[in-house]
Amino acid sequence: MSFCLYSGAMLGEKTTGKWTMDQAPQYAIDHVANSPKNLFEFEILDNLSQKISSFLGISSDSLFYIDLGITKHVFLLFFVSLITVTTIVTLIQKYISNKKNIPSKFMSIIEMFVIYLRDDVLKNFIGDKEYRSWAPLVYTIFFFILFGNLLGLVPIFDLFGLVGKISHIDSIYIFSKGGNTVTANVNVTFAIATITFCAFIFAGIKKYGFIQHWKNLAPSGLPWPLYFVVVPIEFMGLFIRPLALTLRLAGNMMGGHIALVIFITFIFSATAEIGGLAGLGIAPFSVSLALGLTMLELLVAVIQAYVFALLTAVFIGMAIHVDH
Amino acid sequence: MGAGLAVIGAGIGIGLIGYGVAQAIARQPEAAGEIRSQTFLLAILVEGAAILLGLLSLVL
Repeated sequence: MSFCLYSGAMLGEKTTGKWTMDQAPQYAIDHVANSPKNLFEFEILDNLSQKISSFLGISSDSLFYIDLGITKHVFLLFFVSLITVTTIVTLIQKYISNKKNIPSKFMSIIEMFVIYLRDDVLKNFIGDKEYRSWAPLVYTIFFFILFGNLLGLVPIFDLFGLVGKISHIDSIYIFSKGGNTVTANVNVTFAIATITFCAFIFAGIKKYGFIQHWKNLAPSGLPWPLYFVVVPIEFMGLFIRPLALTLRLAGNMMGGHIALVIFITFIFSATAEIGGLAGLGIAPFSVSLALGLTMLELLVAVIQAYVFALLTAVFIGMAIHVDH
Repeated sequence: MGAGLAVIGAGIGIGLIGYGVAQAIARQPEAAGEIRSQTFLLAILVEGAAILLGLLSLVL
């Protein structure tokens, strides 16, 4: 659905005669990138971000300028959080207040995820006793990422982009070039990975105490010269873990959406380079490929959420059970 | 070029994991669940290396 609307937006570009083959990568990047401007103007937020940045000594045109403004992805983050919380809370409220204890359709889906995660992930990797204290974190991460990924396939901003393109209102078009996958933004996934990072360090410290936890990093009982090799490697591994988590999720979501857009741009590139008939001929292949890829994206959305939750559980388990 | 090499490496790695898993499940069908969760872990680790290298090739 997203790509249909998106191709509509591109069609607008085509009819104005501006489409060239070189534009395809730019379109793909625009599709996954954050909006260049803030969606809403809040003077309080602007003042606050200026104060914080001047306090830290960062000028306003610097790359590291701390902008608290609401961009497209920030807005979507709030939106995803809202949807996640309301869906889960209302479903579970309904289930609890239900006298007969029969789960509704959506409740059984959620129940399936929860039970699968509990039996296959939490009990397996964190342990039968400790898993209860870490379950809320893993479930929260799983459902947040799942909803974020799935919402990326619903064309909210693509619709705005299409409207802005057709009605030639540039102010709508500029900040809504489509793409509403928050999890395709590296900053978002890095924030979630940081939570995981803190969680598994905290888990180790809680179990073994501060000093013993850092001693556990390297296996004991090695001949002493080996420690000069093992300790740096283990220390690097500690920081590579959240980095790999960040890049895996963002890379997968971004890659899928870029591929979708590129498949659609085949039509326009063929039309621009060869002729209208070539564009018409390539359209069925292009759209069916994009359709198939959208189905794949549905699968990837669930798998990546599962993988993130699984790795969180695995890292926490590794911090708790040092012996293996 | 770098991205292609990373994909070849990860492809061989995940292929080997899949080979092992298919054999393991064929030999012990009752342990399929446990094998599957271990598989995910291994495949993720292989994929993680590939993603890191792919990004490195993009950046450099």
